[in-house]
Amino acid sequence: MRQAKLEIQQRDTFGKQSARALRRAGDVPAVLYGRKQGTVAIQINARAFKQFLRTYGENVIINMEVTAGNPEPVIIKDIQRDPVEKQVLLHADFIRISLDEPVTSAVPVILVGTPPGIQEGGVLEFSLRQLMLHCLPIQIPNEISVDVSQLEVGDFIHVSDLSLDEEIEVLDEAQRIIATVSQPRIHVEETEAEDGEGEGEGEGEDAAEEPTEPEVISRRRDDNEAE
Amino acid sequence: MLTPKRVMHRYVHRGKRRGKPVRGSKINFGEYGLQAMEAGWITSNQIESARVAITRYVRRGGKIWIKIFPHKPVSKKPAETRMGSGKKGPPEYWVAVVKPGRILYELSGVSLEDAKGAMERAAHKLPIKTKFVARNA
Repeated sequence: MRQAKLEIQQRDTFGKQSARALRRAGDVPAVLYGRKQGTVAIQINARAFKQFLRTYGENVIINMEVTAGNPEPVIIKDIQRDPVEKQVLLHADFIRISLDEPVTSAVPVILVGTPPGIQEGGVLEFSLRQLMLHCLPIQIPNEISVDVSQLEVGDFIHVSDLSLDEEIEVLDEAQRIIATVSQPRIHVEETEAEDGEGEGEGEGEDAAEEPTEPEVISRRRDDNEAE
Repeated sequence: MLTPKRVMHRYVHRGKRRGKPVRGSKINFGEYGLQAMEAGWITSNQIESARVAITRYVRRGGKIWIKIFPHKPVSKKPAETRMGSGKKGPPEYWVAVVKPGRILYELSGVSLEDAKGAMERAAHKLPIKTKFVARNA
């Protein structure tokens, strides 16, 4: 895992009103905690933080200077973004770590190569996009590359198929599927069923189903109590 | 058509649609998604219609996820009935309450162009503004 520095400032204002004021001023409110030390409210320049994330990603050890001249190793625990505009950062959580103690971290999985099964009409399904690893912070890889260039239709790559260092413990189940090339689901054209008379039948079925309302649970309970 | 199998109450209040979604605003399963840009009620017919539009466009391969479900009943008085008189109409249809940012559909196993085309056709079936989103965008 890479190491980097990030400029932060302590803040002494709390609550949604001051957080909104901070965001308007171009900062991101954040918080630092962990290792049985106190929680510190901090703020980061939004532009610098976005640049930092573009450069290093979220999987990085940050040497954070909360007090001048005393850098602490921290990692990003959570980043809140605006649901509509993903580039707008709302808040960040940092957690203190020790470089000598193992931590649990989510590491992205990247598929490498083109499976020959795709040429045969298969569909590559990428099921597990990040792995939970438990190891020393220095040993956490930036990403895990999985070679899918041998996958035929119907083949799988499980978590157990990965070859990682022995010191890295994978917390995901060994039988979980990372990627597979599955048989294509061919959409049967329902033109006659939907454009022609079949549609009428379909609607007829729906019309027949519509009057049946879902079962009302509260009413059943009332009936039971009355009995 | 999507409808609940069991409900706690036959009628529910209309509710408010303010704010942004707490969850469901990330692409979790597929590569591409259709994201709501405004709040609204999407009926079970519209959900199904958009799904059919996506499936027809993609045709071969591809996997689709519907990320919303119409949990909310909407009642309506029968036609030519006078207002009032105490009893509201029976539940007429079911809607999903959608807030801006919510991912409505997800798609994988198709090219970017196919996904864009499919989502554009699905968007035409929906009563709200939407945008195409990709996982790595």
